Amino acid sequence: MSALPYRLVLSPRLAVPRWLTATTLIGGILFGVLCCAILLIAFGVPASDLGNEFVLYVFGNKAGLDQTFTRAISLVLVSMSVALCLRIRFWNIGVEGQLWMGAMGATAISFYHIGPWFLRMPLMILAAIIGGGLWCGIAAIAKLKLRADEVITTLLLNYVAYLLAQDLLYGAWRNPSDSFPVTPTFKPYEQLPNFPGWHLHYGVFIALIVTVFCWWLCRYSRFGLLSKAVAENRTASSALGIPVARITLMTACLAGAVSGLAGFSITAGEEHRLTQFVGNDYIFPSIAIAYLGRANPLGVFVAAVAVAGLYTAGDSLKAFYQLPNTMVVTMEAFLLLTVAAFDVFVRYRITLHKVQPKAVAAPSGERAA
Amino acid sequence: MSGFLGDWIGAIPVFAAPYLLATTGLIINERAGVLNLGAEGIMSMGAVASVVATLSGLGLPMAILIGCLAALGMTILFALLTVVLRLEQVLSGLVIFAFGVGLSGVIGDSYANQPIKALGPVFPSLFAGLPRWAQHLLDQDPLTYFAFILPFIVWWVLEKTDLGLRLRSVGENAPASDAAGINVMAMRFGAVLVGGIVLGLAGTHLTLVGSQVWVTGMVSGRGWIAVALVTFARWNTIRAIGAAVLFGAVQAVIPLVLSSGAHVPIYLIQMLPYLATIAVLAASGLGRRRFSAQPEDLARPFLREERR
Amino acid sequence: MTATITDRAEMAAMTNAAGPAVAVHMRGVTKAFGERVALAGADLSVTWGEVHALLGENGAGKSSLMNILAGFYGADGGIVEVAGQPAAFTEPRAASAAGIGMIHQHFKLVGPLTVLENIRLACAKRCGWRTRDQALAAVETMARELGFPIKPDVRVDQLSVSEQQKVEILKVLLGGARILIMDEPTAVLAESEAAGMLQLARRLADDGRAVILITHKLRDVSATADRVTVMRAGRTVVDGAPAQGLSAAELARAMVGGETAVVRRGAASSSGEVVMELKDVTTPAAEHDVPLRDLSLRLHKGEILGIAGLGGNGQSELLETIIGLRTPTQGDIILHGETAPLAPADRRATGLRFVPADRFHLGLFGSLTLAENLAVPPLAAHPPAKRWWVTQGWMRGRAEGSIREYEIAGGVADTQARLLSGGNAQKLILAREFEGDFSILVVHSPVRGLDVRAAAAVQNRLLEAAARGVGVLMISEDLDEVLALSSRIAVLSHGRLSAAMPIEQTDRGELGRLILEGA
Repeated sequence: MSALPYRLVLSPRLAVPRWLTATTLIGGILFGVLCCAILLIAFGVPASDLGNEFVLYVFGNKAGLDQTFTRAISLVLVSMSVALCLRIRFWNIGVEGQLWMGAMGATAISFYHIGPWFLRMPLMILAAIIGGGLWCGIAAIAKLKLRADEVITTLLLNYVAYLLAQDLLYGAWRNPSDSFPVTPTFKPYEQLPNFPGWHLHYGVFIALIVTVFCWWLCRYSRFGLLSKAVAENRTASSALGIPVARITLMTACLAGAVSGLAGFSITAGEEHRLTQFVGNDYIFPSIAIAYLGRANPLGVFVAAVAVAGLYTAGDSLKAFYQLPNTMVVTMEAFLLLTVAAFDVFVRYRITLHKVQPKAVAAPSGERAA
Repeated sequence: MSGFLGDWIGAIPVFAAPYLLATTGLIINERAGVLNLGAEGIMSMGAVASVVATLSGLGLPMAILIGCLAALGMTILFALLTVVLRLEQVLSGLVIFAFGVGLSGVIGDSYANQPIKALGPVFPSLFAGLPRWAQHLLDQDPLTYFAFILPFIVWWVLEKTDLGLRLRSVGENAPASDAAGINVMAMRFGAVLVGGIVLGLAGTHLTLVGSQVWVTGMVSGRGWIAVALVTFARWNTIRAIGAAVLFGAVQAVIPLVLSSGAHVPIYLIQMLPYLATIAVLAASGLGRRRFSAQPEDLARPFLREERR
Repeated sequence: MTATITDRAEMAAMTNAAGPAVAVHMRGVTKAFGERVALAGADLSVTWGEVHALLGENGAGKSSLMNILAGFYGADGGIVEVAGQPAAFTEPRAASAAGIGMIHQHFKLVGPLTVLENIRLACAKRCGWRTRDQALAAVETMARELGFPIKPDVRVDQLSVSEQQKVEILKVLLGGARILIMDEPTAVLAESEAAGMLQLARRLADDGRAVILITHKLRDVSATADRVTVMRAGRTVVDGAPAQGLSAAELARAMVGGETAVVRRGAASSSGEVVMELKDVTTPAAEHDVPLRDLSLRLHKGEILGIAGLGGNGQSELLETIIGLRTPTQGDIILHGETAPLAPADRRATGLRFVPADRFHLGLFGSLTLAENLAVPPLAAHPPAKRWWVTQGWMRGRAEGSIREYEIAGGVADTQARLLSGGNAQKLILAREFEGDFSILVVHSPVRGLDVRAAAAVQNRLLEAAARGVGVLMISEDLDEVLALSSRIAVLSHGRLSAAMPIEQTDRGELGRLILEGA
């Protein structure tokens, strides 16, 4: 580096202009998409087909739209969960576990026939909210009282919830008349109805309501403003009288509840029972989408729909070109990598400094002891 | 010693070694001030690469090397993101975690579920005279021996050498180290790379010694557990041995219990390592110490011109 | 003294090689950090063998200029020469190789490492030390020459501030510094220690070195310096004038650039109702803190009680304990005759307000706008202002009034708080804290880093508040400020507080002794 006449200097930016945030985001996405396209072509997908797959099939025909929007419901919910926590610098890596707990809560209501038929669904929703909220709340309490890092606790709780679900599926809740480990199918009044002719179900309303609520919460509520303060500086917040612990716990429980609702949506809306695969592969997309949406509820909604489209395209690529299962996840990770890398332009100002010729070192170079 | 207990003790080293290697590698990173949450992804790359190398006919030593190189590649990516581009370390770690696990899945897809020849014990005849459980305990393969020797080497380098002094100071107070003339970026980059190679060894151990096969997602959280173990071991590699042995013991008991025929719920018992980790984290949080062992500058990106 | 003789010989060689006696020559140096201009054409010329004072208010650019010389960052423009050669260092290592050593205001020492380890870290390569014993011998020799007591195996974070400063000096001298930059060396020392430090600077200069003394204290200049350069707002206004030739008034005017504003102290009133009382408050010892010990004080309505003392004796701990961020293990805090509630929010509700020393650590939220910062306390209060729906319009409306009243410049209601300069940030904090009714005000270093006009404005507000009946506890490390504003004064030393004395009955010498030795 000392051989070059110029030197790159990174200095942190104080004020970030809006246009810069937007351009770097788009730049990062485009760069990532380009790299993924190259990756796909290397795997044998003809370049000309890429445009078809990614745009036409996904958004241009009914089957694609159906799949995309159905997938988007749970993605919106889990990503919103991560985004809510991210706003107070709480890392919620446990959305899968919270989703499982929500799903199990809803399934329990169905399995044990709790409540009269007209109350069944509200009870399922309530159970899902409690299950998910509790699961994230535990991690928040551990962080507040025991300084246990939430990255690890939320993540490990994923595994615990998953194993609990497997235990129930293979054991107590197993449907005896099915060879697969699944629960008995939900009754009609326990299922979320579909739109006629579509796979898409009424869970989409849940996603929309949650999005609007979170948007209001973050932007207009007292809770939202105080959370911004907590995110920046916990000590100053305490000193000014903001109930930091209460806000942290409430945010975590809310986030967990939202993930739990995703669990309800999948079991009651798509599968109509609890299966082994309900909660799989949500951790990474939730973080990626929350980050792409810049932890802003509306941004998260849009990003979730976009990523759902990515998955739909990936499915058809898998089917037509025999791409491996893990390919889509890898592409997604790569996309996040490029967006995150481009973020450096937002956070720092990069300048080129001309290096003046160095001074001659003083004669007192190496001293004898 | 009774059969069950003997079998259990004998099995511990093999189960403990990956934890120990991973924790040691992470300690090297964290003492230099870099939080590496991508451990799981890096270990996955080490694991899959060594299996692919073995199945492709290269010898076992070559397989270990390839495993380390693959892990190194993923680590270089991580180092670029955190040390050079100075991105938020938690985020970079998560990205590498996902990318590493995903990529290893893609690579390993066509090699999955094919058993490989494992690393064999080094001195089978040396321990012949000892009781069975002692034989089982002491007669290990080279990688496991290395796993238990490395913490001492790392401890000595960190505490007793000049290099270790500089590494520690970079992790405690980067600006002061910079003022003292140390190249903070180079030091951190180097520490991340070395730690990454050790993480690769941990992954290699999992496949070549442990399971002797590649299955998608087989690291199953061990990388994350190792991150927790670093805190539990208070950033000291010697203490990490104790922590790893504890977790190795927990992990080792599971297959023994399952195969003993006792009526134990399969899935619930597999929760043990994860619950144990959470318990350990909680316990570390109780009891405040006068001087925390956590490196002061952990997870803070270093920038010389920073103001405000 | 062998080391010194070697210095002199090398010094002579270097001087002869360079020609004239100029050690450092900086002309027209400019530097900006993003939008903030730190230097707009600074000049400095230092000769070998002199103590050269670099004088200026906080924010004038002295530290920036010296950081450029010492290689911490590069200048944007201008000439920098050391011993006649161009010297644009790209990193501190290069500057130290060229013989430049800087002793910073905030020491660059690594806390958990020992004294010896810290010195070895910086000097081992340069001095060729291979073993611990070599290093120890060299350190002990130098320490003996300078008359410093040394504890080589103690962790640096367990040393006192002045002991740490000595380690820093040893480190720099052993590193072979010919040009020594001392950044506010007397700021952390008591009066007698400060005199010793200035004598050391003189001695080091007499050995042939060039010593640059950065300071904002006029007294340091007249006591020790040969020549003085004054900086203001990033420029040099007095370039290397002989120190004896300028009076204190002239120097002050050069530093400030205008007439100083007058602050008038109000009537003392220490006989009113007691609004706050601390009885034998003791806080637990923790890593970087100075615990309070058996601390007692009484604050009366309408008075200003000044707490004097050197930095690092428990000032922040005192403020944090009063507002409720720290819990004492012993003792009581009584607000308006009743035991203080535990939560900071509840204490605020009884009329307690505070202004911290570090504006962005405990004071403002940098990433929030001015309006949002002002809106936080009423929204967080118990019982909360009954607003579930908070619009930007509502916040902006409230903010605009305060911005006008407190003359906050450099931003509008929607600007992010971190873009404000020190003075305006302080005004924003005052605007926030002074809202509504309050009866107890705790301030810590209220005018640190502010220019004279802003400082006078802040001090006048404090006086007004006291005149209105608010009890003001003023914690300040600036003895002059405390003496100017308080009606009673107490000294904080090592976490203990002396008894409070009315200002008329204080003796400056006695105060000095209390500050240094404790109650």
